[in-house]
Amino acid sequence: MPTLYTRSLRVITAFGVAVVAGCHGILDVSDPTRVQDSDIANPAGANARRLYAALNFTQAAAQSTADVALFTDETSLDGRPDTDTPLNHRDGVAYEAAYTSVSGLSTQDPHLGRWDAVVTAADVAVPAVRAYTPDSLKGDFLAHLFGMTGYSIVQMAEDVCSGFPINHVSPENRPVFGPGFTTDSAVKYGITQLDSALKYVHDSTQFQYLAQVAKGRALLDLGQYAAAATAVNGVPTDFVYTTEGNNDNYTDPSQYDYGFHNIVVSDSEGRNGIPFVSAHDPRVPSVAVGLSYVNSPDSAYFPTKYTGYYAPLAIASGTEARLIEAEAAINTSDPNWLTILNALRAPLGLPDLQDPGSQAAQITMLYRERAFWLYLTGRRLGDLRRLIRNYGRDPETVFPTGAVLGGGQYGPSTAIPFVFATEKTQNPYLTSGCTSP
Amino acid sequence: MRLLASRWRATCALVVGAVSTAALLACLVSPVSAQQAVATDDARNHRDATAAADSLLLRRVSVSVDHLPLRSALDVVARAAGVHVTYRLELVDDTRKTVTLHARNITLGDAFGRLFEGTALQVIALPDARLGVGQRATESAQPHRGGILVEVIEAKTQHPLAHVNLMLDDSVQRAWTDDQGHAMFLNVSAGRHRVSARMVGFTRQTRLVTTQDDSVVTLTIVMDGSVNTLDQVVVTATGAQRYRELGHVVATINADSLVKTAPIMTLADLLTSRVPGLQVSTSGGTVGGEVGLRLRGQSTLSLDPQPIVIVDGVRYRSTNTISNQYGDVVHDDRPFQVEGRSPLNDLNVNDIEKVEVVKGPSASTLYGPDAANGVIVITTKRGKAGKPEWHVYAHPSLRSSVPEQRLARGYQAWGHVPGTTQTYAGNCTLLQQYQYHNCIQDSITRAAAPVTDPDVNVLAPNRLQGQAGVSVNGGTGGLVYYLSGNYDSQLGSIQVPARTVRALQQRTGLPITSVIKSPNAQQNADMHANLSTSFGDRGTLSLTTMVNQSEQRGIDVSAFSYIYSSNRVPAGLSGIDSIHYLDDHSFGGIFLKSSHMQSRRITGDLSGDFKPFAWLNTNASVGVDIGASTDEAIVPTGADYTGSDSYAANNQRNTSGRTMSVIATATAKPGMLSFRTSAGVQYVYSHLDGLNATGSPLAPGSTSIGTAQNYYVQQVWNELITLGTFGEEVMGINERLFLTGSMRVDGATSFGDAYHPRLFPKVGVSWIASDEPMLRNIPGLNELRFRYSIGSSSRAPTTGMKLGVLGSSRALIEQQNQVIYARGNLANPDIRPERAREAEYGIDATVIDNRVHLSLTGYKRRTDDQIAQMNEPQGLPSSQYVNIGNVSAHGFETTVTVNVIQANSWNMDLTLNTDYQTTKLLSLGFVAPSISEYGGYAVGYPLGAAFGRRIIGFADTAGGGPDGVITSEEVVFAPLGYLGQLYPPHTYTLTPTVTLLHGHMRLSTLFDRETGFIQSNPYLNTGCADNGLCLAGLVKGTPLLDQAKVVASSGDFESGNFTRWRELSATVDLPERLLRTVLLKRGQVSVQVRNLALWSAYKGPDPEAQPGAGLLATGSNQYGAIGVPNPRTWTVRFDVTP
Repeated sequence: MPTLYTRSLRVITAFGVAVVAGCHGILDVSDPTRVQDSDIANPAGANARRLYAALNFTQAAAQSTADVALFTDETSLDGRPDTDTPLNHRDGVAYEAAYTSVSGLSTQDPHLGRWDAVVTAADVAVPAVRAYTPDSLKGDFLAHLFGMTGYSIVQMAEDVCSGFPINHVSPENRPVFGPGFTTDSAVKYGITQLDSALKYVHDSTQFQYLAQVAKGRALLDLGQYAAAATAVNGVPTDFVYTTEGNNDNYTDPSQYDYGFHNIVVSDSEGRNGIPFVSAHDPRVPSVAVGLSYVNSPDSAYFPTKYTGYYAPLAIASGTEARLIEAEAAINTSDPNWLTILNALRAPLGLPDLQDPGSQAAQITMLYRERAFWLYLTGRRLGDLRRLIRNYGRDPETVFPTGAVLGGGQYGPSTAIPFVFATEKTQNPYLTSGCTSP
Repeated sequence: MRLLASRWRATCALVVGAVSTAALLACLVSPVSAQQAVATDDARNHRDATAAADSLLLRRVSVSVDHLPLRSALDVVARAAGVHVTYRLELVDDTRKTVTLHARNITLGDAFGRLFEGTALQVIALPDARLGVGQRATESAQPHRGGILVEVIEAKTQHPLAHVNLMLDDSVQRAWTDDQGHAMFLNVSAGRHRVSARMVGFTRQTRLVTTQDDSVVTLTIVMDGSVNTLDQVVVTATGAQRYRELGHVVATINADSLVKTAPIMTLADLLTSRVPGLQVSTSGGTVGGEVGLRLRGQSTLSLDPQPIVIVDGVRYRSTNTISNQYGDVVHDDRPFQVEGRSPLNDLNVNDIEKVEVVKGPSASTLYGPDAANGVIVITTKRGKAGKPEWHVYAHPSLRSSVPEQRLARGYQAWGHVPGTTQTYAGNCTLLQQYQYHNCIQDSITRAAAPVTDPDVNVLAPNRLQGQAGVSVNGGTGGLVYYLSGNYDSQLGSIQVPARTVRALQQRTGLPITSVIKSPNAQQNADMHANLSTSFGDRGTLSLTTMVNQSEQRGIDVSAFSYIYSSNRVPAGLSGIDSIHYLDDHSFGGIFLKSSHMQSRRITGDLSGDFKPFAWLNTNASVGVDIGASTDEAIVPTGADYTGSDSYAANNQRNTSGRTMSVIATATAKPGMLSFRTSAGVQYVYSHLDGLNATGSPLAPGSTSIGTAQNYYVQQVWNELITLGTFGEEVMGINERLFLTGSMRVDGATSFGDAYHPRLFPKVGVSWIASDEPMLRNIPGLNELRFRYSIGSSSRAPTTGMKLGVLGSSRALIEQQNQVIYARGNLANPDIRPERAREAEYGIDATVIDNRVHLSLTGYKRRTDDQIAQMNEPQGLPSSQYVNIGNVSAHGFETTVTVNVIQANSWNMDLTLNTDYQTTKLLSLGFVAPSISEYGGYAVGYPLGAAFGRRIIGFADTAGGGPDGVITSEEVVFAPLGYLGQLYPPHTYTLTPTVTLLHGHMRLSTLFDRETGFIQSNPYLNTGCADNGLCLAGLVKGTPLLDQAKVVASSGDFESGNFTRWRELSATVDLPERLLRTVLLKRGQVSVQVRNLALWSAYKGPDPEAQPGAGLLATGSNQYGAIGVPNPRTWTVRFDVTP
């Protein structure tokens, strides 16, 4: 006669055996309605991933354009003080603090993170395109992805202080943290991506010219002017590569309101700024929207370069290619630089420029032209930093400085800092924030 | 055989009347303990009654039955003779005998004798002129001719109590009372016997009775309804157990009786303020919205914090939280900020027998993943053997608005644009005038009264609604059934004010239908069926099916805020021109955004018990829970004041759940010990998938999303499968000390690949000290128990947290609307379940002749491996959920029930529940805290804390010196810091109950107080002036501190402490004479009122009306809107049995 415990033990053992026997496969998720990686392992899925990278690229370009404009002399805030932002004050310390919570941790970097998101989206898209896209499209799609990646890295290098990281995503959908980059090393990293784009490009001149112009920019940043001119060689002047604008801030002057849609065109901002309003230049269209809160009784001017939320944002163009060639010409004492600039101005009816004489003055003139041509395209910060890095200008002579309209003083930052708080807790390769301003 | 025959003859001689009446009368002495039993000692009456019964057996009948089961034949004979026969169904059915008997004009005794031939049954005359059927002594046993007739009545009502489980001498014989509250023990030897009676919801009663041979003793037992008494039987993960065996507290709500006598229409009403430690949050006066349940506070950052719900053994989808397209656990909102419908509303409270609340991991270990939040075990009604018994109920009710004083009467500051004569288009506040220089104030007028002026009143003065249903139950011993159908129709409090109706008419040119005018409504129809059959003592099989179909019109949670805030428009103005300046056209547009949901749900369970041996019981159960809903929402062209296109949304949800379990329980009682060994396997599958589709613009005149030019579709998905096995051993010593040890181990789809199954153990001790010999004789002490339990349980991550999420959507890229696949949360293949460990200790005491019951419980809990969302690493597409952080919690709960007055005709009870609960985030690793005004978490603070910036000073200096106006530059704020806790840590409920007229009238009420928390009031400060709801910020010279609050950009919080008179009801049994005239057996009427009064320092309309309130650690009022205040509801409920 078995004891109670013997019986119980038998019962429990029987259940245990049943569980083990029944476990095989029972805990697998197999629901067909859920989209899994395997479901989009096909040409359409690969294209959808490419387009996701393109969407991030679009959003990053729009965000970057707005950030750069505020940080430099392109736009100002003309609203209530409580809507002001450290970007408008060139105050890197306050900027990072604004994105850092009370405990010292933070949310995702709003500027660098946008561009890095292009890189990580491409990380996922590139293998998919390699695997599933038909050969007839594969080269161009890869060129697109590498072109966007390279462009993004160059933009990061131009905007963000030295020491920033570039993170990636693994094929297993896990984070892969990257080391800190100096400005130069990031630019060089970007060039490798752009070279890949140029290697893969097949039929698409759009993607080819995008990579060429971006590479020309990158080489300018490295001071390799002749190489930069070579890089953009063949890009037609009428070439324009646009993304959808996502122009939240500049869409409709009728929505202008103190404290809300309160971004206005700067006019000689911080003493060193370009007089974007006073110059009455057709390349910087604007409209008066009434009293200015911070500059009363002056009028506020609303930028009208973009006339709709999705108005195209030109992020690379033949005009920029010509401007790169002009800069190369100045640096090689080639007088053709002025011809190039005036050729660009002529269709707009702008009067010819006159050679100011010295190379330094020529550079100043060139960069003023770039400021008008490339207004609200996210180039201005890279330009000002290049004036400092490549041409030895004093930051206080190129950036807005002194008192900020509406209160406060401009800070000393010459680049947008990256938010370090999150990275320092998660990125094992990073031990500090900006290594240089 | 000969011996048997002689015994049969002897018995027959006794019962069939072959013996003299005098001999029977001689037996009818009732020597029952005077202290413990109410046994009649009126021998004369007793003798007369028994003599009458005896004479029944001489009544002559004609019988003709052919191959009928014995029970049916018995009924035929009884009907033919016009007598009532009491018997236990299984006693008769177990004979499995079919009978053929054709006889004319024989005595009843003879007829029964022939029916029972070949069986061990006998008939006996009972003292109250009735007959009983019992079992003769077995051949080997010493025959006895004594018997005990037990009558059981309910203490408060003095009504007979059916289906009471009776036990003679610790299981020598068992019996159940019939519809008249009677049961019979036969063959009882002469001497002293112990009869115990128990029933769910009542205190177990034990009586001593002394019998003599050849006598039938009547024993009356009065059952006293009481919660949490030791011999109550509760449903545990391993089956029914006596409460005295458990080392933890279990709260029981006897829904069947409560629903008939209290103002309860929904499960939320049933649960609110009845169980210490259980908080129920709703959005207030809307119907069909969210219901949030939280047991012993909140201890999860990212997962659903609500307890799991089990209905008849089936895991029941009960929450409105889902894993969204990004993998985050969120409210499943409907389009246009319409609150999602709580699945709890699918359960009809009239079909619920009882609700048991298992509060924490110390008790819920065996319930598996997600049980760390506690478990709510719902048992629905079952059939009872007998003739079909119908029950019909109806309760029309009237919802009325909140009192006028709870809503502020607004102001309008009129002004003009500086330098012009143009009227300023807005409220010309001091801030607009002195800081922004947008206007110059001209005058201030008082607004219309928000409740009494129909032009602006957004709360309907009265709403008629109702609920009705019918049920029937009955059956034979072999098959019993319960069938019911219910229907209810409810209208939310919110209405479109008359002025807004006019504006809508002018703007759209269309008639404004009643549907638009009453934008929030709900209709439910449901059916419930249960069939149970038994196979003698060997087993039972039960099939339960519940079907629910509902329709609901939802309303934007902000609608009340918008309309209420526009009440500052002066009375008398009408027409669209007069209200244009208020953007009232946008407010009216809210009501044109229709949101119509249809849902269907079926829940079923097939369970069976099989008892192969006396010591072994096995139970197998298979259950399903399947639901589908469609929510269509339309914004017609012109509804949106921004001039946006027409817009349509369509949300589809499909849910399915499956529960399968097998449990085996072995019992043994060697000597003074008792053992209960259980082992089981449980499989739970839950699945939700759905699509959120939006489209715009629609084709002209179309109200279908199918005509939209552009689509945007998101997917919602979650699937979780768990498989667990568990074992439990309960050892009892002398029925006084119980030791429990149990263990569970689980696997789940959402556990990381690297997760190694962990054991979740539980240990419990229950010591019935009052049963110890040394304490038995303490005067006044009836029960005293000490209990302790420590256990752990888990909370599973969502499968999306493990796998990551890949979602499709559409976006404008390269000038085309294209499909993209975007990565949501990153995968975490190493994710583990959250692990909660809790120690609970407590005392249960019943003293002063069972008149005072006290239950004290304390607990301490720690949750490790908290799942939190990592800060989004730079550049990564989204975040990742990781196991990090710890949360502690502790609390204390008390229940005191006092029978204050116990008189002959009336009775008064008082129940006081209190609880204190608090949580604290101990660590969060590298994850950032969630800092928000509307709730969040940070290390060192409770979960659901509010953070903001307090005003620490102001100086009226700007503008060239003191000017009586405070602008935003003149206010000084403290750094961002902790403001307070959003969930009330202290709750108190007081429930006095008075029973009058020998139990035929019952009065009951419930007061509820919640303290120690803050609540947002979006119109307290910043909104106050803009919306004209206060004078500060409008009038120069008002107190500067008030003005400072108005210009503050944060800090719209104030104390949420409140006391609410939540329920009042009066129930009366209708006189039988009256009922007979309308052919009814029983009937009662109950007048019930809900939300009678509210006392609170909170200046908003209702501190409890917070849309989306408190369901997640990161948000209390996630919409930042004022909820529709809870209405006062008047109900008249009729319950009748034809």
